[in-house]
Amino acid sequence: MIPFFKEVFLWLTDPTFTVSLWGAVLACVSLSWIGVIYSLRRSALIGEVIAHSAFPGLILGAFIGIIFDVSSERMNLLLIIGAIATAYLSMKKLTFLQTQWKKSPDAALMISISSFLGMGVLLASILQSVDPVLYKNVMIFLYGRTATMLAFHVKLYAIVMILLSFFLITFHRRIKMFEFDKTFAGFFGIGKGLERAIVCVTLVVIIISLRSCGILLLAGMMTTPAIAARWWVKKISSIFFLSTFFGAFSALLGSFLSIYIGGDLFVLPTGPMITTVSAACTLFSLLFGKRGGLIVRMYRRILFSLKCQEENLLKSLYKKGGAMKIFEVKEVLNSGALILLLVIFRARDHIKISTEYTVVLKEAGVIYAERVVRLHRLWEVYLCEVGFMKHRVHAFADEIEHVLTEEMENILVKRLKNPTHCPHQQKIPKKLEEKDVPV
Amino acid sequence: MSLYNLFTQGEWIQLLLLLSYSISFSLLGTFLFLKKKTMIANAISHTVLFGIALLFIGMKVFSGQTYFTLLSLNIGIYVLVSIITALITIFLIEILKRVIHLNSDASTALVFSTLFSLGVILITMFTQSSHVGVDIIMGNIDLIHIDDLKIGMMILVLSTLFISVFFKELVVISFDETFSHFSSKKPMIVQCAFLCLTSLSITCGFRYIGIAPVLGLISIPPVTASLYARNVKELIYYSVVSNILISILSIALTKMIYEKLGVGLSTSGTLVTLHFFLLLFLLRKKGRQIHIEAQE
Repeated sequence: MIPFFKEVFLWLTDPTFTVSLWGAVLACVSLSWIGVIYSLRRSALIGEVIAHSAFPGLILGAFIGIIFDVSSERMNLLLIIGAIATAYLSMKKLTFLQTQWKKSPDAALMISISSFLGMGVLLASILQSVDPVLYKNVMIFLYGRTATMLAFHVKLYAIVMILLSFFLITFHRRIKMFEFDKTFAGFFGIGKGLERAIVCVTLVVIIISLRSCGILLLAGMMTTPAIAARWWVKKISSIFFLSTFFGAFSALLGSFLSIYIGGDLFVLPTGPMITTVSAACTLFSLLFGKRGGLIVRMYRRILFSLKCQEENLLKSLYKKGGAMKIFEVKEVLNSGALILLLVIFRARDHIKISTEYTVVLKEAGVIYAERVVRLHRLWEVYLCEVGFMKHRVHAFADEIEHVLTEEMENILVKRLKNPTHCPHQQKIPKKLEEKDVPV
Repeated sequence: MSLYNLFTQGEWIQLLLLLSYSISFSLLGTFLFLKKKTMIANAISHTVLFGIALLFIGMKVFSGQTYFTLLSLNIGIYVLVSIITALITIFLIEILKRVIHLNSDASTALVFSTLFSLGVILITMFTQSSHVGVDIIMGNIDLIHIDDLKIGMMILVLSTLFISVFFKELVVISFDETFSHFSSKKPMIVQCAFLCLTSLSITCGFRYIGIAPVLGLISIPPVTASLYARNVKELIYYSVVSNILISILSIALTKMIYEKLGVGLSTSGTLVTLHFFLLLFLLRKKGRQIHIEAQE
């Protein structure tokens, strides 16, 4: 373990890696912010569209560069401008197909992706025959080279990230309003302007990240942190914070792993590694997330069903006078794993299992069972009061007795003026502390 | 005779191959469009790499073959692995949607970006070079062999048969999934068979004609046809017709430009671009027509 940490420390301080590391972190954070906005809109695939439709733009930029015979510095600028232009066109077409022609978002996305990819392929084949060297340069632009990042790029990313955070902080109220209720936002004059601003910001962030991260990282980072964050928190600002954390974490771990795994033999591509780490985070969140993660949900369901079973058992024990034979218990619980259930319930200290295969109610169990029975009968009284038939209320009360809380119980008692008998003329057990307090 | 002399033999093969794929894609793509599942094609185009990476690793571990001998051999295994990967992709997307209640776009994006990046990482790890792109594994319509035609024809026959036999069921499934459980006996089986056939033809398409034309042929023609079609049959007819016309046109255009200007255009790029321009043209025309009708 210690050599591993030593390696991490060396890597964090190594000047050759710090540049690409910070570049990756900054780019990932900005991308995940953009991703949050689009995942709220349920168009998480927009990153994919932009990444693909930048392809013909890059090559068009290269053609313009060839025609006007510009220097290599200006050529890079031209490539970026071209990429932004076609990406903008494709996003425009996307919204046009969706709003004007009522095509499904799925079909519109696919058309944008495939048509611009096709045009890119066509233009690339021309460029390949005209100028093979430039073609190779453009391809580097497309797949990304994290290793070639310079201090200049890191500064650029930092500036973009700061501007983006300013944008988000200044307009967070409007963005929220616009994303959740377009009609309502329309009344305040929020609409086209904000939409345009978001599109511009997105394009700038994405195309600038494209140079050093590549298409893969882009599409991945725009979706995964946002999805992961939504499984933990509900508020939109918290989603932004958490996705920042996920983005930065996966950038750090991913760029470290990409160097660490290969050792001296080879360097794994950084972009895919970061995406994989981020996807692993997302998978973890989907399973264990506080808000409806799969395992968490299953755990809660099991707990609830255990609670219901236990309450049913206690109730029938109480009605039978405190002791039941095992075969009687079997009828109440109706479960395959009867022994397991009994062992679990015994651990809760409400029952004990005596000799002669008898289940006996304990002191604490009596109090608990009285509460359940009380809730059951109170609910029956309430339903009769509301107008239900007397013979039908029992089944409803059987279900609701497991979910009634103390607060609801108090309200019911107040509303029904503390009844003493249920509709079937059975006594309602009194609450412990209220036993001698007059109403 | 003169018609035959219009193209060389290679170009006739190219044309036939393109036609067989484009017709089956317009048949399958129409139903994908109606079910709003076209994005599956894009997802598969990314995840296939993952399956291929696993295949390479398996081959290397079990039989010690290297990466490059694998490329020339084992086309059957290649296709099998890609189909399995495609089905796994569809399965994962559905699982994420149904069990974890993710939106369909988020689940698609999550699955394909994860599997794609895993595929790239695995390939880099086992070939120890980062220059292996998707383009080596994927085919190109400009580099074909006469044997490729067999699989293309097989897919064409299979998809035509399937669509014509189960046309009614497919229509019902794509418009009203709940009702399909009452009207036909086994809607799930038809749906599964449809998805299997789709992934078969998509993956074969990637191998023999390339990614860009497959994505273009499966997504653009149904939308173009939907501008004028009034029912599902017309939708299929129009997209088949536009596919046939544009396939011929693109091959002729590429040939003409190569002969006149000496620039070797990529046929697949031309194909998709022509489809796209046809769509744009018709959108514009139809939009103007609607505008005029509204004014009257």
